[in-house]
This record gives sequence, structure tokens and C-alpha cells, in this order.
Amino acid sequence: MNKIYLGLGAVVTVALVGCSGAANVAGSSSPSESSGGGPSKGAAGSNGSGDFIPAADAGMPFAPVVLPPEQEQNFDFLAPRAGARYVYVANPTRDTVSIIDSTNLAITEVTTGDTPTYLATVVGQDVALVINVGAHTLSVLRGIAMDPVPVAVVPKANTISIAPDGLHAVVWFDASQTGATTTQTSTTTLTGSTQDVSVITLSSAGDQATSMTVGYQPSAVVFSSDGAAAFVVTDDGISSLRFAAITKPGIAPITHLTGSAVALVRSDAGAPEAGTADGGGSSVDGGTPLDLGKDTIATTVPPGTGTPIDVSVTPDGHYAIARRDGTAELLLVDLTAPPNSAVTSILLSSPVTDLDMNPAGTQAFAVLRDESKLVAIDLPDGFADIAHQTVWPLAGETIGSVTISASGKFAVLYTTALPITSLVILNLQAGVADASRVVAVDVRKAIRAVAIAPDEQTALVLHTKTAGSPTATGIDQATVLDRSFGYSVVRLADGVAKLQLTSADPNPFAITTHSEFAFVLLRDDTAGVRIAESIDLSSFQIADFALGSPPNSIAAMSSDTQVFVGQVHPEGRISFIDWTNGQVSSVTGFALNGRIQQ
Amino acid sequence: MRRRFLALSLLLLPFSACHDAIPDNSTPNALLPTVALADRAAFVEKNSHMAFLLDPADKALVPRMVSVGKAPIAAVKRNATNQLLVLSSGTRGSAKDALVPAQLQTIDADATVPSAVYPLASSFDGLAQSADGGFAVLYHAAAAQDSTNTALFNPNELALVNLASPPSGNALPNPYPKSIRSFGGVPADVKFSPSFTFAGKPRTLAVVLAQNYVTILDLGNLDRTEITVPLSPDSTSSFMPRQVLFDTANSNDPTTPNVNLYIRADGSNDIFQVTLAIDLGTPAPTPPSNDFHASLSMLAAGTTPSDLALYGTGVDTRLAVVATGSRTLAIIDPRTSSTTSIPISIPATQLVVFKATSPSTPSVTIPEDRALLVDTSSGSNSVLFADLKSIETTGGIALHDYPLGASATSVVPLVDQGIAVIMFGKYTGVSALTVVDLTSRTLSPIGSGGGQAGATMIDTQSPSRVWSLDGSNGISYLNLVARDGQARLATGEVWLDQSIADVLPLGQASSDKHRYLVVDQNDPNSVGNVTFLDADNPDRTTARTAYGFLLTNYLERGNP
Repeated sequence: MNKIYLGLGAVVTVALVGCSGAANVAGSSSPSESSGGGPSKGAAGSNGSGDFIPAADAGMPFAPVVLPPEQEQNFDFLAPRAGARYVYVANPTRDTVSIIDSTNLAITEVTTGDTPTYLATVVGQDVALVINVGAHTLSVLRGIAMDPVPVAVVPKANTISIAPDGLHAVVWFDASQTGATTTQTSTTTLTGSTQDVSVITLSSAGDQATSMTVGYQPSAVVFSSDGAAAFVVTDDGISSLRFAAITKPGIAPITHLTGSAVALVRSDAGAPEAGTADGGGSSVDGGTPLDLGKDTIATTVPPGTGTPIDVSVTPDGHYAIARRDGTAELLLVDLTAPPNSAVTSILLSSPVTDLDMNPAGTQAFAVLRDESKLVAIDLPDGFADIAHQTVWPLAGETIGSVTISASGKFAVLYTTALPITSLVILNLQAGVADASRVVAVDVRKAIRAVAIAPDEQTALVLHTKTAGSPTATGIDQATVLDRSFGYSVVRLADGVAKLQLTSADPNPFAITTHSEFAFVLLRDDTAGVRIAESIDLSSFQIADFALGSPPNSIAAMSSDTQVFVGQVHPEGRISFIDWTNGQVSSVTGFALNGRIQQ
Repeated sequence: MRRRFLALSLLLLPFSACHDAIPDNSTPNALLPTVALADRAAFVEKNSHMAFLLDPADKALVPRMVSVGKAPIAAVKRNATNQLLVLSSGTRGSAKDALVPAQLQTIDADATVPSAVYPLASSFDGLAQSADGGFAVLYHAAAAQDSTNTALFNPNELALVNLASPPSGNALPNPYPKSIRSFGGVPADVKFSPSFTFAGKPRTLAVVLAQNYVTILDLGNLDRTEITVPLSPDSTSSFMPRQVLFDTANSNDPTTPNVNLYIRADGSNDIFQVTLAIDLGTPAPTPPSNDFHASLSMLAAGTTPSDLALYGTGVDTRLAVVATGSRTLAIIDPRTSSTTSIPISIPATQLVVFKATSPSTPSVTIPEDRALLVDTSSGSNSVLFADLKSIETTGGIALHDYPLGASATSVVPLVDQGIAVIMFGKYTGVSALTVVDLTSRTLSPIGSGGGQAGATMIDTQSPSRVWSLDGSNGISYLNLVARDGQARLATGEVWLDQSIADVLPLGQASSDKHRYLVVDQNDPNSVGNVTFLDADNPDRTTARTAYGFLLTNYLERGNP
């Protein structure tokens, strides 16, 4: 999975982080799928009336080549974090957090504890949580004030996951974050258990922490949309943290994902369908639900192995879905059922390279790269009755990843495993006869990631580059293009795209709350490139803002019309850009600002 | 030259006309430095604590005498007025003499305007005033402390005086006593903003400079607290703020009114940008809180910044900084802190920013922002012209080198007249100074004959002129720009009958329509010896001397 979730409101940001469509996945860094090798069962589509004409390789047969996994990137944990009005920056060396008021650049410096390092904010609120690594405590900041008593947290904690309602948080150790850009000393990660998490109940009247034991090696924490529960994805399974039930330290109930399960597969599974109307033909199926219930058989499949990844939880916290890395197996976990009867798995016709869920939690979307298909699976019925699966065969297109828009209207399919320059836009709500239902777009450069704006009108596509300098002599224009950094903006309704080549890697980026603008950061320290680039998402016009220092983070403030750009500076530097008028203001020297007396 | 022996004509008849006959039992007069008011000269005699105002339009040159506070220690012209400001430290009092408090006093050139006396709670020795003369800040200047005074004092105590208002009487006392918070330092200097409106309200800011921090005072709202801005991240650094620029262009921005201060400090490689912003989205804080908020940015400007200047407006506002250590010119966008730094061939210490066309781009007929870069400390024999608009795109191509005849020691910008005068610290030889035409980029060396020269001073009143003293009785002058009947760079000289100590041009014409040059003549007997010379048409035949004016009414004044 290689997508940026943009649907949950104000903070639409950041580095390329994989997230679930239905619920927050904090700290997710799931290893992406490998391809090939798995059974190629027939998640087939029906004949349809699609009018999509592949741009190339029409009728390309199923190609069992081994492709590299889709790629993801992780957070920079020391980067500033946006609240609604304030930006919070942890200063580990000074034991402080700098709180920057975006309205007047006033900075308040608060001493939180020993080595505050990992900081997170509640989406859309001026509430920040910071782990004081040296003291094994968590400090909670509300506006510019700090809750008086920090709470003790598990010693190895390096990740804060906050429930959507901001009332609870889970503080845990994410092994994938060790060695990230932090000042954490190695001694904090060498000893202790990875299975301890701290459940934080946040209240201005007094924060409380409760230690819980979860499965081995947590890799993600997912919340139900109502914020009543968190689910910790571990190597052992999914540990459930239902906050109302947590009154003292304990062992969280765990649903193991290993062991045999009854799988539901189609009787004709396994046959590639190249050249058929629902597969490799020159048209794309319109997505009519399959009427293949009569072919459904139940069989027992060998126990799955491998770490479940791409875990998503339905908003009501009832179900979780996941895939097993490198296999065609999808898992449906009933989080309310007894542990031994909770898991249902199905095998699709080929390895699943990406899995996502619509925001409502009613459908899962699985990408079968080897077959160029997207399979929509109704939850939970699609795991019991194949009639509740919908297949979009996209013959001729190489797709390995899917990004679902905020309300689930669009799916954008693409691959990051190969230098493929096209993507496919599926309008999941369009009628079968709608000519714009499927749109293929040649974006002219290979794709690294896709983000869809909250209003579902546009997508921002980040491209890869090939090795070598685009300014080398003797290379043709195509090579120049390949060797350049760049991004595209794409109008989802009709696929109109604009490619922008850039002087540096366009990452990270942010999209404003109401989708007026996108911003990308360009940084090349060798070449002295320090630019924030704004993209008007209605006109696709682009403007550059030169920065004083190399940028390292960006986010939209939810309370006004500004984005902040954090920059690398020994004293701390941040700029605010008002996208309505282009005004820029900067402040440098967080510590000094914190000492201003006024 | 006509000389007025005032003492003889008025008071000292018994002693004949010989000034050697002044009673030797009198306390010698002790004058503070002569003050050039707008149209007259003022002298403050310390022992008699008396101010003498001489109107050159008065044919008799009879001084107007006004008593000032006891123990006057400073006398200056009140800016933008025709008034004298006198700071007195008063006396402590004894069994014989009553205590006399310290005071600040204004004396208008117009005798009908009453003098204003602002009593002070402390004996301040530092006086700073705003450019419009509306406010004065009195402080304890570290460099001026009286080592014989053993009384305790608070070096961070200030007196803030609203010179536009009468003493006291209003809701807030005037002078307003203020002890500013200290981070261990003491005031070294005070800088003032121009008067401006901030979100529609009139303001004048004072910035008190101290080692490692500055203090910002809103002089129009003295009931609000001061803002203290640290400059040094730790106690190991020693940053002495020296230069402050104010950018008030956005002070009435409809969304975010803001004012920027740019501070250069010795010891720091950063320029400190202090932004004062008013948040219109929240209710204005009530006193003692300020209705604006300060934030700080550090702008990298090369090694050892030595001068800075603002140019451009709005989003095109830029800060130009020359740094001697790195030999760079940095162009900084203050909004983003983005810096374009280019190497320069000289360790420039001074920037003169101006708007002009350039001979290097004759096709561009609209004046653009440019700068003259001068090294006044390291012996460079050239100056640079920089096309500032092009620096950010073309780098060093926008720099142009011009040779100098000698090493500059100072530069006097007269931008409104299109020139700058580069001084060489010596006043003889073929290179006494160079006049730079900023538009044509011509450098005109000006020589001086042999002999030990005295001071040279630039009369900045347009059309400007250089006055040069020869160390004895002679004054020579140079027209920096053309004037009626006289060519640019034309010279002349006047010889007076006595040796000359100093010259001071008055700022405006006196009531007789002539503008005068105040010539302080040597005065070994301390009786007052000044000559007024027509500044536009200097001629010894029309010069008039007031000799002995300090003895006016000497006997009637008792025993000073």
C-alpha cells in the first residue's frame, strides 16, 4: 500500500505514510507485498460496458514476473506537529517543547521533562502529547499550557497514537522507528519488552495512564472511528483495547491470526482470464457484482503465515481486515467474537498487493497486480459469499496500489513497483453506463505515491526519478524527463493532468483543509534548493516560496488559512504561508523566542 | 567682519574694552558644546546654569538668556523643532543650598513660548530623543557614570518624557518613571522608531540596547509593559546591539498589522528580526499587556555583519547586509528568511542604498534599488556599486568595482541629492575626499593644500556643501551639488580674524532670510566667542562676531 489518507479532516500532510481508509493507523510501516508465488485464484469480473481503451499493451497476458514491493516512507518524529492554532516542536536537548502561535508567531517554551522526543497532536485540536524519553513520562499540552502532572509511560515507548476523538491515546514501541531521526539513546531500546503499551485517558482534569500487555512486536495501532477502542496489530495477532473496560493494568484480549481457517474460494479459481471480457480484453469491466454464487465452494486452506499488513478497522470497531504479505489471502477479523472463531480468510486469484477500506467500512478493496484487477469485497458478506465481490479488470494497466478518496467516491490505481507512467481513476459511484467511470491517465513519469484531496476533486501524484542528472549532456528529452524529480496534479473527474518537474524531491507535501491548495517541499542541500511550492488545485497554477533553510516538514493549520513549513536550523525555524494571499512570515530561534518577556 | 563686544557694550564698561581685564576672581565659564538650533545658536554655561540663545538675524547679537537646571550636563537641539533641550543633574542639597532636582528643560527659540521643565527622579546622564522630537528617554549611560558619585542608583531606571505634553498633570505622570527588567545588562543606547500608526493608532517605539538583549517600549502607551527580547542563546555569547532598522510599511495591514525591527549586534553573525504583530482576530489585551506580540527571527547574514539597509516594499522588501568577515553581501527576504549571499571584493563596512538608473543598463530608465558599498576600516582602495534587484538572479554580475584614490574612513550619504561623500581621514593632498555621483557613478576626488588641516564637516542642508577648516582662521568650502550661480564641485574660502574651533550650519534661514554658519572661535578666556557667517554666500565682510556674550548682565546676575 502506498497511499496517503486525506479524509479525516484538517491535517492533510506529510511524508508518505501508509494509512487505512477507515481508521487511523499510526506508525504503520508495514512491509509491502512481494509479488508472485501465490496461488492465482479467480477473483473475476463480469462482462461490462466499460469503454476504457488501454493506453498500451492492450490484451497483455498475465505476466508472472517478480516485481519489487510497493514503497512507503515514515514520519520524521522530530518534525513540528500542527494543532489547530499552534505548532508544537519537541526540543530534546533543552527538555522543552516550543509552542508557536500561527496567528502572531509568538513562541512559548514549556519545560516538559527529560528529553522530550516523540510528539503528536490531536487532529484539529491544540492538544499535543510528548514522550519524555529520559523520564519515561508523557506530558500533555493544551494550547500553551501543560497538564500539571506528566503520566508514566512504558519505558521503550517511541510512538503516540491518538484516538480520533482525542480522548484516548496509546503509547507504544514501534520497532520500525528505531534509528529514525531522533535523539533517543540506544539504551532505551535495548532492554525491556516490546509488548507493553500505555493506554492514556486524556482529560484536562487529570490524565491517566494504564499499562497493558499486548502481542509481540506491535506494528500499528488502529482506532475505531468512535474512539472507543484501539486495536494493536502485532506479530501475534490483534490486541483489542476497549477503553471503557480498562481500569487497571492487564493483558489485552488478542485475536490470533495464525492457525487454519475456513477459506471461501471460487470453484474456477486459478485460471487467468486474459482475453476474456472480464479480464484481459481491451475493455474494462464496469463493476457489476458477480453472479457466481453457484460456483462458491468452501475449502480448508493451509494456515497462513506471514505478518498481517494493511490492517484496517471498520469505524464501528467490529471488523478488521488485513492481508498477508506476498499471498492472495485476505483476513477478516471479527473483533467482537471469541478469539478462536474470529478469523475468516479468503483467497483471491493472485497475490494481493494492496488492501484498503472505504471510509464507511462497508467494503474492502484488494489490488491484484498480477492480473491488473481491483476487487471490492463487501464487509463482511464478501468473505462468505463471492456474490458480494465486485471485480474491475483493468487489462493493460499495471496496478499494484490503490488509494481511496475521502468518501470512497474514487479509487486511484497505480503501481510503484515498476516505472509505469499511467494510473487509473475509478469512479466507484458512477453508473455502469457512465463514460467517465474509468479514466486512464498517462502522467508521463513513474509513480511513487498518490494523495487525493479531501474534496475528491484532485489528486497529487509524486513521481520517481531514475539515476543520473537531468542536465547531463547528450541525453534525449525522455531521459531528461526520467531523471528529473517531479509531481503531477490530476483532476479526478476527467483525468486532466499537469506534470511539474522540480529541482529537488517533492516531499513531503500537504493539502489544505478544504482542498484549495497543495504544497510540496523541495530540498536539495547540495544544490541549495529550499523551496515550498504551492499548487492551486483549481487552476493547477504553481508558485514558489524560497525558504531560508532546508525544509523538513509541512502541515496545514486547521484553524486558519496557513500551512507551516518546518526547517532545519540549529535554533529552530518555521515559516507560515497564507495560501489566500501568499504572505509568508518566519520565525527563527525557538529558544530565544521562548525567553521573550512581554 | 564686524565684531560685537557685548560685554563691553553692555556691562563691563568699568573694565575697558580689553577682555584681559575680566575679573580674575570669577569662576571661568564652562560651556557645553554649542548647539545649532534651526535658526540660531545656543550655548549653555554650566556654572551659571544659563542658556544663551543668539539669533544671527539680530544685528546687535544680544543673547537671550534663560536659566536652566543646576548642573547642566547635556544640551542638544530637540529634533524637528527650534528648541533647545537641556538635561541637568541638579544638586543634592546641603545646609547652605537647597536640594535642586534633576530636570529636563525645553527652551524654544521663540521667547514667547514658555520653557517646559520636566523634573526627574534621578540624575540621568544619557539622553536620547525620537526623530520627531516627540519623546525623550533619559537613562544612566554606562560610559558617562560619575566615578565620584557613591550614591546607589538603578542603572535600568529610565525616565520617559513626552515632550509634546506638558509636565505631569495627566493620567500618567510625565516624565514617566520606568525600571525595565534586566537580563544582567544596562542600557547602552536607545533607538527610536519613526512615528507611525499601528493598526490605526499612533505609535512611537523606543528600543533600549543592552548587552545580549533589547527592550522595546511603546512610548504612546506607557501603562503597558516593556518587551524584553533576548539576543543570545546562552551566557557564553556576548552580543552588543548596535544598529536598529524599523520597517513600518505593513503596520496597517488589514489582516495582520506588523512592524519589523532589524537589529545588528557586535559579536553576532545573525541579524535579529523582531516582528511585532497585532492579532486582529482576538480582543485587544488590556494594559499592562501590549496589544502587539513580539517574535524573533535570526537571519544568517555572513560573518561579522557591519551594516544593513532595507529597500523595496511589500513582498519585495529586502534586507541588504554587508559582512566584513566573510566579505559578502547578503540579500535577505525577511518574510521567509531566504538569503542570497554573494562574495564581494572588499570587506565593505557601510551600505548606501539609493534608487537610480545605472550606466551599466542604459536601457532601463526607471530608477531601481542599488547600493554603494564602502570599506571604511580595512584599507580597500575601491568601492562597489550593486544592482540590488539583480543580485538575487545574477549574483556577482550585479556588482561593479570603482577605484578610489585612497582608503576610505567614512562615507556620508546624501541620497536625496544623488551623491555620497567619501572621506579619507586626512584633509590634505589630492585625495581629501571623493564625491560620488550615485547615478552616473562618477567619483570626483577633491584635494586640499598643504598644512595641518582641521575638521571637515558636511552641511547636509540641500544644496549641500562641505566645510573644511584649515586649523587656523580659514574655512574653505566645496559645493557638493550645483546651486544658484555656482557650479557643482566649485570651491571657495573665507578667512576670519581669529582661529576657528568648529563650525555648525543652521538648519534653516533666520528671520532675515539668511541661513547661517555658526563658527565657534577659539575662546581662551571663556567669555563667548562666536561668528555667524552666511552659509550660502560666505563672505568675511558680512560675518558678525559676538564676543563676550557670556558676560551679558554678568553683574546683574549676581555671583554665578
